[in-house]
Amino acid sequence: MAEHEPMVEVFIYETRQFLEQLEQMALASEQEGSFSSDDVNEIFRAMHTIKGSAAMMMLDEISKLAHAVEDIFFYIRELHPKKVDVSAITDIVLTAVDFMNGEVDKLDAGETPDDSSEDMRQHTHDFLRQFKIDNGDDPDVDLRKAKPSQKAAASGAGASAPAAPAPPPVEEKPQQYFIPAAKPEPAKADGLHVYAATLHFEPDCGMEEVRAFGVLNRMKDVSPEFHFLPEKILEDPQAVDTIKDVGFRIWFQTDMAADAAKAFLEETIFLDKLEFQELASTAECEYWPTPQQQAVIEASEASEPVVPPPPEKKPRPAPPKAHAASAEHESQMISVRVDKLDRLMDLVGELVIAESMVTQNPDLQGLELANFSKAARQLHKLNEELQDGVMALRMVPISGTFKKMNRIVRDMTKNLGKKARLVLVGEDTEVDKNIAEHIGDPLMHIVRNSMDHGIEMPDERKAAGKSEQGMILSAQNEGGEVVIKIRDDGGGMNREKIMSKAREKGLLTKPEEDYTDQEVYGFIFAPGFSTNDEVTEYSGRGVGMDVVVSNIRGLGGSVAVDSEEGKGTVTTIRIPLTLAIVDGMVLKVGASRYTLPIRSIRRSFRPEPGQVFLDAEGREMVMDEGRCCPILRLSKLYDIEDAQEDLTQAILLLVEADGKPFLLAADELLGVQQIVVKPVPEYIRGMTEKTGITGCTLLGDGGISLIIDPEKTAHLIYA
Amino acid sequence: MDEEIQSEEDTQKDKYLTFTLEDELYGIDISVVIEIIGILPITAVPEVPPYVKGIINLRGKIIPVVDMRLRFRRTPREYTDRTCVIVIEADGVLVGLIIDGVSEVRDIPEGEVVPPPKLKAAQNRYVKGVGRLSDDRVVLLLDWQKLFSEEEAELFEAMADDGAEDEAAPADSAGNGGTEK
Repeated sequence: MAEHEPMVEVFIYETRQFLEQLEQMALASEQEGSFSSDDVNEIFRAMHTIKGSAAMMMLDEISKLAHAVEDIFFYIRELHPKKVDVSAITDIVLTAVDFMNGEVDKLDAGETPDDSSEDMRQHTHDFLRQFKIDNGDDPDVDLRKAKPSQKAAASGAGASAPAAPAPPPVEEKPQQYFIPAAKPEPAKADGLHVYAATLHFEPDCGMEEVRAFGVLNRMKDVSPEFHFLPEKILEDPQAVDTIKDVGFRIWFQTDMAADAAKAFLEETIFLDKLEFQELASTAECEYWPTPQQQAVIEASEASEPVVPPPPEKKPRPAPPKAHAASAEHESQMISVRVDKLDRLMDLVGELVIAESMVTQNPDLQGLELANFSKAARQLHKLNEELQDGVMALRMVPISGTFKKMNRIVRDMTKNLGKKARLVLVGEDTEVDKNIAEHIGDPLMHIVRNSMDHGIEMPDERKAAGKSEQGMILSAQNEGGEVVIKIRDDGGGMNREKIMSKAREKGLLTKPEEDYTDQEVYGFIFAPGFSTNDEVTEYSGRGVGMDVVVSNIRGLGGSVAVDSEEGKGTVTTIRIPLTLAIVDGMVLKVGASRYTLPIRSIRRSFRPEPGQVFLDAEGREMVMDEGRCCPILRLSKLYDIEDAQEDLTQAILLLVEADGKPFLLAADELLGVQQIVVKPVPEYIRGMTEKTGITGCTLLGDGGISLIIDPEKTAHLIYA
Repeated sequence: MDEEIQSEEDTQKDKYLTFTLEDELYGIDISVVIEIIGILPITAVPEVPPYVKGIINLRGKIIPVVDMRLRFRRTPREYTDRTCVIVIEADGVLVGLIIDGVSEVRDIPEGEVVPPPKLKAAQNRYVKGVGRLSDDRVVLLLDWQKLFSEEEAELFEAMADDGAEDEAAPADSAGNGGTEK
C-alpha cells in the first residue's frame, strides 16, 4: 500500500467500509426477497455519503454513479413502489460497488482512478425509468425536482470541472467541524466583523450541497465562528432543495474587511448570485445559536448517526432499536494502523525476552532470593496479561472474510443456474488479522470448487431428495487453533474418478488398493489436478487447490478433505490463532539450540539399545506403533560438531507433520518457551529456503535459536 | 584532518570508513554504515556459504554477519578483541561485516580515486575504485551495492516468488512455493 495523505487514507478506509456494508446489505436483501425500509434507508445513506465524499475528493465518476444508485433508493423510499425487482437492483448495487472498489483500489495503489462509470450510470438511469413506468409512475417527474438530467450533469461537470478551481479537498465526517470547541460570547469581538451572505448556485451545477460544503471548508480558515442554513447540508437530503430554492445562507465572523470577505465568497465555483451584507453584531444575525442551542443540535446529531457503524459490527440490518446502541458503539471504536500494532507486538516480544534475561540471569544462579522471586512472578504475570492484551488487539472476527464468500456464492448461483445458500456458523470466531486476510483466497477457492463440482443442478438435487440450500461455512476455536469447515451436501467426490486421474498423472506411489479414502481425496490438492473435463470460468484449470494448500501451510495450518459420494464433501482447514507467538520446545544439539513448535511434537523418548534399526540403504529407523519412523539427525542435517553420536544417549522427538511421522534426534531438551517468531534476515533467507528453517527467535539469555518448521523438514525426508 | 571533517560535517560525500583486512586498507561509504560493534556471539546457520558466519542478536535485531576475510578468499583468522563488525544497511538489507579492525573515517575526494584495473580475477568486481591517501597508502573502496545487492540477486533468484508470502508469514512451505500460477 502506498503512503497517503491522511485525508486520502480516511477516504479510502471509510469508503471501503461503506462499500462492504452496501454489499452485505444488498446480498441480505436479495436473500430476503425484499428491501426492508431500514435497508433502503441504510443503502440510501451509504450511497449518499459516498457521493458526497467522492465529490470532495474530485472523484466525479464515483460520485455520479453513487448519485444514480441513490436515486433508485430515493424512489423506493419515497413512493414505496409495489413491484420491486430485488435481484436486478442488487445487481446494480453490486456492479456499482465493484466499480467503486476498483477505483478506490487504484487510489490506494497510488494510481489515478479514471474509469468512466458512464455506461453504468446510463443503465441505472434506464432501469429507474423502467422501474417507475412498471409501477405506474411518471418517469419524467423527478422526485427531487431540480435534479438535473443525467446527461446535463455529466456534460456540465465535464465541461467546467477541469477549468474551475477545485474546492479544497476536505476530510470526512464534517458534521462536527463547524462548531469550534471554545467559543467566545456571541458579541462582536474585537476586530471581528460580522457578515451575512446568501449564496445562490448556478441552476445546473448539480450537487449543491457539496458545493456549499466546499464554501464552509474554506470558511473554516478565515472565520472563527460561523453558522449557516440549512444546518445539515450533507446529511439531510432536503438540504439540496432548500439551497436551490432559497440559497445557501451563511453568517460569519471574520477579521477581513467587507470587500475582502465578499471577494472571498465570490471565488466560490458555480456561484450564480451572492447577497452580501455587513451586520453590526452577531445579535443581528437571523440564525446564531447560543452555545446551549448548539449543545442541543449536537446532541440531536449524535443520536442520529449519519455515518453507519462499521459493517463488521452490524452484519445484518439491525432492528431499529440497534441504532442508538450502534451509535454509542461507534464512539468507542478507534481505528489504528496495523504497523503500529505490529510495532507494539514486537515490543512486547522483546519485553518477554528481556524479562527472562533478568529473571534467569546467570548472576542470580545459586542465590536464595525469596523476595526477588516473588517480584519476578508478579512481573511475569503482568507481562503475560500484557501479551494477551496486545494479541487481542490484533484479533478480528472472521466474519468479514466469511461474508465475502456470500458474494461468490451469489454470483456463481446466478451464472451457473444452481441454487445454493451459504450458512455461516461461528463467524464471530476471532483470528489474527494477518490470518483473516490470508485465509480469504484459499476459502474462496474451496467455496468455488464446492459450487462448481459439488452442488448439483436444482433438478438433480430434487431428484436426490435434497433441499435447495447446500453449503455451510463454519468456524470454531479448538485449543490454539481455529478450525474452519466448508461443508456441502452436493455430489461428493468420486474415488474412482480421482484414482484414475491420479494414475494418469503418475501420482501413485503404492498399490491402488492400499490408498485410504483420505489419501485419495488428498490428491485434489496436487498441483495441476482437476477431474473437471471442461474448463469453466470458475474452476477446472487445475490451479487452485494446490494454491490453497500452499497458502494455508504458509499460515502454519493444514487442510484435509473428506467426502462421501452422493452426500457431499467437507473440507477442514486448521490454522493457528496467531502467527506471532508460538509455544516452542527448545532443543540442544552440540552447541546450537533449535526451537520446534510444540504443536507438532507427539512425544519424546530415549531409545533402548537395539530399538534403532537400519534399512537397506543404511537409514536409521525406529518402529513406533506399527509405523516405521525415519530418524533425522539434526547434527548431520545442519553439520553440527560435538553432537551426541550415540542415539541411546540422545533424545528422540516424534514429530508429525502433514501426516508424516519422523524422529528428530537432539542431545538435550531445554524446555518449553513462548517464542516470538522473527523472520530469517533477508540477506540469508534465500539460502535457508531448503533447510527446514523458518525463522529465528531470541532466547532468554540473549542467544538466538533457529526455528525448525516441521512441515518443511518432513519434505526433506519424504518424497 | 579533524578540521577538515568538521568543516564538511553536513555532507557524507567522499567520506569513507576505512578498515583493515590482512595487510590491506579498505574503505566503505560512510552513508551505509549504521554502527561499529565488537564481535558478539554468533549463531551458525546451516546451508549458507562458509563466509556467512551466521546471525547475531544486536539489541533484538537479528543480523547476518559475513566474514570479509573469507569473502575475499583470504586466510581466516581467529577473532580477537580487536575484531570488529561493521553493520551496514545496503538497500534496506542489514548485514554485519567482520573485519580485522577499523581505522578511521577518511576523506577521499573523487579526484584521488582511480578505477581498479580490469583484471580477470573475480573479486576486483567488488572494488569500485582505488583511493590514494596523502601518506602514499592506497585504499580499496568497496562497491557495497555489488557486494550485497547484486550478489543477492544472483544467489536468490529462486526466492523471488516467495517474497510476498514471506512478508506475511515467515513459515512458508518451500515445497510448494514455486508451483503457484
